[in-house]
Amino acid sequence: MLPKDEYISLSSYTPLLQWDDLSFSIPDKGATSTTILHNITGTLNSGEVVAIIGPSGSGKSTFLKLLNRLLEPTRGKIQYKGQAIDKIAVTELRRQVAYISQRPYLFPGTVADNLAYGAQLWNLDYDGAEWLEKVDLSPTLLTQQGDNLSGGEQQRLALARSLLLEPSVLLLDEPTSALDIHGTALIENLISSYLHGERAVLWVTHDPKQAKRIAHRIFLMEQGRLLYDLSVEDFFSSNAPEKVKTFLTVREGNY
Amino acid sequence: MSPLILLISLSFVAIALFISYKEQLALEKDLLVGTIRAFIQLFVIGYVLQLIFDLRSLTGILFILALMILVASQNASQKSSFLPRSIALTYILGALLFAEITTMGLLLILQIVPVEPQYIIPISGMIIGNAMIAAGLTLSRLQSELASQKGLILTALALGATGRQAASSAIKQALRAGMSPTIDSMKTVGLVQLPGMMTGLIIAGASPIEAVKYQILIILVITASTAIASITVALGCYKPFFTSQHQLSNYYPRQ
Repeated sequence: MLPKDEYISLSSYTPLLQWDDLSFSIPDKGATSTTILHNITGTLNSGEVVAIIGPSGSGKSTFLKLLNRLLEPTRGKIQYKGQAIDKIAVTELRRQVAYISQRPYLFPGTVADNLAYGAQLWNLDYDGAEWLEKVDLSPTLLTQQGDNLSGGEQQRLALARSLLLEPSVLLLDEPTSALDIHGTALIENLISSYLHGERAVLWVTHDPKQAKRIAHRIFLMEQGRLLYDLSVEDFFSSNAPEKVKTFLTVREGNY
Repeated sequence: MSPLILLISLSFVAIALFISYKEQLALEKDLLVGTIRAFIQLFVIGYVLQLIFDLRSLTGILFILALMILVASQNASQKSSFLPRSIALTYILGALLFAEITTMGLLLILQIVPVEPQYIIPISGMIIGNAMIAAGLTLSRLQSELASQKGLILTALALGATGRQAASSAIKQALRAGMSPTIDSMKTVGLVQLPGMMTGLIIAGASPIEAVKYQILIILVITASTAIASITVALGCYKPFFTSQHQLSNYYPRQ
């Protein structure tokens, strides 16, 4: 694993994803609607990991799902590599901008069947045993039923299933929230080694310590609004905005 | 059978009434209403059929068939708990129409059945009735599978699957649910009970072998019509649950 500062210096800082004035509402019964996200603007640059933190219900997952069109914004524009995402075939967009859910969902069948799912959609050749090793799973598991795996193993399998499609952007929705320290460290290392060339990661986490370990920048979200977009140094500095300090105090005590 | 004998046969209802009264089942009212409705409905359809048989009019036959399909579609679309009734009704109407035209068409073209109302109408009744049950089962299973597989389906979409690919397992389960009652009943027919049509033919004086031939024909035709109805409903009704951009639509079933 490269130290965080090195891979960021290698990157060219071109925006991989840009979003402008994004809002998302869901219709209620009747004519009204509830707004989940309000006017969010920002970028994700090549080579960086951005952590999104905020209380639950602040719209973090919804925001991730807008970026690869699992959800459609009510308002606003998103660009991937400088192109409006509604001009890109949506399946191709999702292959390149991968979303990995908080809970791993495995398809019925073996570990090999699961690895094959995305690869078959895209006619890709891949080495299943090699991919298992990359996510620290034994290649002997290939013939095992997916549901025999532990929670942490399932999450790593789900990651391998997405990573073998070689996406440029990873949208991670709290992938380690159900894992212990060891399982969490495995995933964090895995994501670091994935990050090279024109790639970037947007990582929702509820844990400020994890954000500090993995991220270059941090978005603080609250009630569907992006409150702050700060470098990790500024976020944890003594000069951080009051709201950031309050959030950190409430979460974990002092930093 | 003389009308007097039919009236005397009401004493069978009296047995059921007596049991209901004695055991305080409170079914007396339902029993009476049911008996009266059965008398009226069956006599009305009897006279209508007699009229059409006497007229031997094509318009009359088509009118009866259209009525059967409408009522059956209306009935099956009640299984729609998430899809708006009007959308479900449209797909089911199409499915039943398709099943009736294909199977009855083949029967007539291959000259298996003569172009006579007394053949076309009862056989159509069985085709449409069974297709109706299959369509309802398929739709309700499709909805429950989509609800329970929501996580997996989102995962498949996130890997770049189309709505059709993501829903394929739910569609298969729905098809099985629609078709298996007919297939199961094929396995036990004649062992557990004699089918109503065969019983009727035998009572009306046909030889058991002749009755069996018709029954086999009917079973095969019904198998085809339930298969056609199920596949039409499943492949049609999954569509409104997804958007054109392979997102879950607002109708998507919640658990």
